[in-house]
Amino acid sequence: MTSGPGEVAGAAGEAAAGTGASRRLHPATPVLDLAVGARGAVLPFGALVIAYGPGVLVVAAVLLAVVLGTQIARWARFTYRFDGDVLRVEEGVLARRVRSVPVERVHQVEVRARLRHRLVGVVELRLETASGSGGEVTLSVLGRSEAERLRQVLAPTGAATGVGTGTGARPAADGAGASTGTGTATGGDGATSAAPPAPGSGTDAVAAGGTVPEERRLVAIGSGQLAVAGMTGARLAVVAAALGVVARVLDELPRSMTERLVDALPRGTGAVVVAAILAGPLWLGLAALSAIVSDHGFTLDAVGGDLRVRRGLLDRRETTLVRHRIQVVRIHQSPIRRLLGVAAVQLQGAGTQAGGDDDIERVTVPLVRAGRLDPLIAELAPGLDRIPALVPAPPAARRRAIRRRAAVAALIVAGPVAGVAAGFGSPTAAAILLAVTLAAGAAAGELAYRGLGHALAGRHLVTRRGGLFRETVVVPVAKTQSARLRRSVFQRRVGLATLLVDVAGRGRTPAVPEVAAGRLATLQRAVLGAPAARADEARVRRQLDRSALAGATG
Amino acid sequence: MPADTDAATGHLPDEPLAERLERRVVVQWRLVAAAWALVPVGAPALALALAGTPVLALVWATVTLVAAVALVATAPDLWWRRWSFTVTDEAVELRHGLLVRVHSVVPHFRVQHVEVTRDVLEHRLGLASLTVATASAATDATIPGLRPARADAIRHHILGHTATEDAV
Repeated sequence: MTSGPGEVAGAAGEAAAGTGASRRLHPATPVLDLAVGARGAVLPFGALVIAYGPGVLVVAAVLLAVVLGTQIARWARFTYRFDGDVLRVEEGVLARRVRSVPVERVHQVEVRARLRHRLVGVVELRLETASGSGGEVTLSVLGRSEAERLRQVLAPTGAATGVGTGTGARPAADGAGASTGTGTATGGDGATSAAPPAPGSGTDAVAAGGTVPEERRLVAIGSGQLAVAGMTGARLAVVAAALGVVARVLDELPRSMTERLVDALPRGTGAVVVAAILAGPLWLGLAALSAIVSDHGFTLDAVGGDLRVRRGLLDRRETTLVRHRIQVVRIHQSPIRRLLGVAAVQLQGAGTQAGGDDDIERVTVPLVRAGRLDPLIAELAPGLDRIPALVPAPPAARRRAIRRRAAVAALIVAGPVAGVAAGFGSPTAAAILLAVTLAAGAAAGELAYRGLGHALAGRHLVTRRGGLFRETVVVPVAKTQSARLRRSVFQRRVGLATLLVDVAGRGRTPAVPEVAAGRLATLQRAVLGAPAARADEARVRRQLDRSALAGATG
Repeated sequence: MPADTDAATGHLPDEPLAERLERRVVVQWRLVAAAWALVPVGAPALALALAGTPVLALVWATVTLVAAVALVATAPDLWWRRWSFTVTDEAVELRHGLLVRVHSVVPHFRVQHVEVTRDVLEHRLGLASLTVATASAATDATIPGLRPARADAIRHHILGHTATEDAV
């Protein structure tokens, strides 16, 4: 009904932004969708052509035409409309589906230009909302200026000021949206460059009318630092896993084939040494390269009440997060990163998906120098000026950590120890093996204990764990939905407990592990009863009511 | 709060909260547990019998059956003893768990919706389950073994308080 051809403004950049006219996606959509679908069919059809001759091509052409027709129909029947409060998406050729997303629910907008999009000059826009299911809307593909217009109206920058802003007056409130007392702290953080003008490579900056929100550069990461991030982080494991697969494939090959492969290799100790010397740099190089490809030109900016992340070499992404919708901030430090004095910072929103395409809901700052960590945290968790000194876990936790890890280590080597004792008739060797293992387990336990700590600092709960790979988690008290105090049999014996702090969405649940049960029970009440939490909930509900009402009348 | 007071407050009292589940829920748990126990008892025994080792099959079946019967006979009752909850003007609180004890607190003002469900078994036993949902998927707030009338009363109570919070 709303998709009458007269109303549809197919071209991007219409002046009538807020009037709520239905629009279609970019006309290149059907062709791009077809190209994506056809990619997988090229090889099978190629094989068929070789097998049955060029006659197959006629069949392929007919099929292609049918699919293209379907894609065009789908494109023609897909319309969206934004009336200032609610984004309405209608789609479906035979079965119609209408989705309404209140703008107040949007907590993340991602504009993504994949390589194929960049060839045509279009982008894909994805919205993430805090709703239970079907909270994600993807508009693929849009013209650049249209995507930019939508991003500016959908990312509710003024929402950080809370109750004062009416839904219609969002852009005007942006200046005030740069929230509570973090201005000075961030001045030093943007030190890399004194907030240069937006690089304009990802999107054409189009002022949406009204005040232009204040922009501050929080983080900019060069390729060198990205390489360091790649070589010290999880990418190493990914690359190792890929190499592991190669090794396993070689292992699985028939023996004769492997032998032939080995025969083909140069012989002698020299070759082995060269290979060993090359393997390390190759591994590190791949990890560095993969980090640079995915995060090239990484920048994090504060734009009014929002945070904006730009990154990517081939696949450019620009993600806008609503700052007050951040549920959890996680700081990751591997041993090498601690040595180098750097960390990675991950933001967890109230996204709907647990697994799947995680990168939409979790934005990671791949590398932050230790000195810049506190100012950045102050930006991400307004009201917390730095990571506070943490209360260490009680001595009972140390004993437990050591015992547990020593026991696990002993269990793992129990077999080999028995084998050495019985098989080689060497109880001394077995005893030494056992002693070394127990010592290693105990050392790991001691490290794990030292990693434990927590603090309730103002309106934030901070908790840390991990011996070698350390994770510090910051949860705004205002974001806790419920809390669970867990005590296992072993914990009960020594009076310890673990507090699980449930935050919105399906992401990982922050935990305060191994603290005296009584203290945690007090903490549980303090966190849940916090006036900040009440205010947060009231604010979200009020905003929802308003936009629901506006949506009903609109 | 200095860290050295921790030892003094380390051990929490384990006394139950104000309300308990209906005793009949033990029957429900027992039946469900018995149904689940059929798998580890029956499947390997069947496989062993088919593999031509009937003696092994019999031994497996006997041993696991004894264990299963013991578990089904005792565990539900122990669970019930450990299960308690309370619905105050502020929050829903649950305490449950045998090996791992959980004390879960869900403030009313965070509640998104309340669901009362009755499956076939619960229908026959005259029981209902109540689930309180928040914006978090991790929230643990399902109270089984309620009289349907009590479940409805709790639902009204929670929703009443959620509504008041909204007006604030």
